[in-house]
Amino acid sequence: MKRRITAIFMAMLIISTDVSAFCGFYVAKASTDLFNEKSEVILVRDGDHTVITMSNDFKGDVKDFAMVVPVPVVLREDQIKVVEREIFDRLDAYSAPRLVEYHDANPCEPIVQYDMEMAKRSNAPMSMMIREESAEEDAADYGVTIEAQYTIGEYDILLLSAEESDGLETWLTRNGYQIPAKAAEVLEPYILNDTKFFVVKVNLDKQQQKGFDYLRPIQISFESDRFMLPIRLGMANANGPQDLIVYAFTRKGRVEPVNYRTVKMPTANKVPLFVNRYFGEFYQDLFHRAYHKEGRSAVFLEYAWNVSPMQGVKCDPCVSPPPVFGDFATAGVNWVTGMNYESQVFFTRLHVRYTKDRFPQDLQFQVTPNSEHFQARYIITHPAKGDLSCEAGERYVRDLENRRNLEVKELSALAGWTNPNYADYVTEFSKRFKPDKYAPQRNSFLPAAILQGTDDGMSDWAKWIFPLVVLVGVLVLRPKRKREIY
Amino acid sequence: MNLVSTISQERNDPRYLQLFLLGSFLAYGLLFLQWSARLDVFAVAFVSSVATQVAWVKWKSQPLSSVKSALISALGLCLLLRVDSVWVMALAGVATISSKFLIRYEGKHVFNPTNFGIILAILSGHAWISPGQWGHELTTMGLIGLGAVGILLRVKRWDLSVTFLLVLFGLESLRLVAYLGWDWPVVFHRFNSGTILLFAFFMITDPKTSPNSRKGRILWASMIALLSFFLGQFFYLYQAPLIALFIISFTTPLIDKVFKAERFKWIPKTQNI
Repeated sequence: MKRRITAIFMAMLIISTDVSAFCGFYVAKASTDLFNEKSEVILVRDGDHTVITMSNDFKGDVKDFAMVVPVPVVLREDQIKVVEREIFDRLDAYSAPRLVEYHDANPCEPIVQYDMEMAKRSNAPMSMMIREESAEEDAADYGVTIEAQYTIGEYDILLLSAEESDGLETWLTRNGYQIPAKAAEVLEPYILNDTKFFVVKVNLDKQQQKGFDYLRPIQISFESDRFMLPIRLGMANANGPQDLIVYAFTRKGRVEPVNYRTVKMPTANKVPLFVNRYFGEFYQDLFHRAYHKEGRSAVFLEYAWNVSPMQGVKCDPCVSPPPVFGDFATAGVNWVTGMNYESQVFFTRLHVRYTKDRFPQDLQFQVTPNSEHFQARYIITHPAKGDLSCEAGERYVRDLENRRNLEVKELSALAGWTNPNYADYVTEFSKRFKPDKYAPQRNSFLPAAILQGTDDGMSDWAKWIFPLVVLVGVLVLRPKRKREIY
Repeated sequence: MNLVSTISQERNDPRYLQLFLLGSFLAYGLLFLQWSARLDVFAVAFVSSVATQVAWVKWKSQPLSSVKSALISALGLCLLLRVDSVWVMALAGVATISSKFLIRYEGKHVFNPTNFGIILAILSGHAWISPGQWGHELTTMGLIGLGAVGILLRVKRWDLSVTFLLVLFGLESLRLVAYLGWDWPVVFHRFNSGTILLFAFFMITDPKTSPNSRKGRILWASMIALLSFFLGQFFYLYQAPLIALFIISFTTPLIDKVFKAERFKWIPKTQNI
């Protein structure tokens, strides 16, 4: 049975046909329906202790699934675990970019209403997995050593070390893994750096016994002074950009990439009411624009919060329950022991869209003492209900029009959405409940049209003015050729 | 000394240009690179640096013109150091300036002041540096490069920058490309970083703390590059250049003894007749 290394797709909200992969690469048949929808990682870092949990929405036959992940050391059996998929869903739901809803009070009948609600996106459904037997050859002597071999949960796991990439490539091919042409050269640097390879495939008997129709996340833990995610390997056969969501837990504060720039997602923007119905699409396009605006080379911060058991407010407002003791234990946050001040946990959610050209290095991280809270949060405001015929009510309607004008501009700046019908939203307060009149005319020419309708801050030319000003400064402050006074 | 000559002398002080350039970088970072602008932290950096400088200068009855150096140090801290509380920045400012007056050998201070302050702040556990904060855009690198040309022509310490960058580039190319087999973009990506360029052009080129003679400087910069390479490649320290500079600074007095040359002065002495 030939296996082929196929990249997986893992955008969180993004529905597209982009091929993508994860910090390892997936080995599977290269049929187009094999792409994963998401690649998510839980990273726990405490000193040198690192726990990485990897999740995927593998969409093909489980018998075709295989994954290669570079790891710094040979892992013991007790350092590998299979965890339940729910942990990812819980963390995702808790930290996802959120739409917040506010209600205006009727100025003519001043009763304070306070209500918040979140619009939440739904995850892509898991696919069915079909079971089939596959045979594997014994290890041959290609300079490849099987350092360890375990069956954990529904997975057969091999830890390989190799002397050279060609040998490893041949070995993998001989054993039924058909790896892409470019993989060998990507494997080389890892081998020379004395990296081990964590090779996973599904044990079909176990898989059937367990009765899961999806692949559960795998968790590995080890001690290493390197705090990184090897994304380069996954790019071996990827064509388009790939998305990766990192949920990081530390004792101290935010996790920050050291070799890429971190950018906060726009937040606290007021957007039109109808965004409620298209929040998934809105955030996709918002992310897409932000991604291009930052030169396709930034890592985006979507959430950062102190989630310690003793911490009072864990979100503002909460989309879903914050992580609890059970979640910490599952994720590998082993220092949380209970309701005490030693159990400090800081949570960071990063969103990376990477391509080969803009992300030539693996992602390297640091744990910073930065414990500033952040959330990607967008606001819709419901107009007041009831009779607005009083004087204050008329003023309110005028203000409302101004506000909605700004909301529409914000929508255009953030997501690039324009639609002539938006004018009705601004002016025709009474018609606001018309269904789907404001369906977005989503711009398919992005990023070509990215500058259209953008009035958010400085444009590109302003960036070039800066060096010019500096040039003038250098000229003004330049040394005189000869000193006259001697 | 008459007024004209004083002004003329002042104008020749490269520190004005340095202040202008570092100030431009900070403004650029805040305007275009979304640095988290905590104006209170910046203000504290300036106040603590300048106040410390003034206090030391008064006590030692030295000229007040050295406040410019304190301003440069403060800008350096604002550009590089990130803190989780203003107190850490205040202490970093005091440490930065005081190191110039306290840790001296034969009348020359041993550590690059900003580097000393940053290392101390990081050791406190309440500060960090963000090497990724510059991104990898051409405009940013162009800006820093332009500033570098301006300042290096003034202080005549381009030998340090060139040596450091060449040696480090050579070593990293050998390891990453020739040995490990990565593609060239990996090396370019590492060097297309504001942090490394700022370090090479604006930190190690400090004429007061680098060796006096050219031979000494080339040796010194090579050692920093070598150590930085080892710390970065084998110990995975992303602050490698800063640590390397800190460690290699201990050798500066020795290098100055071996390779003798005249000490640098910000404002060349003019002989009035």
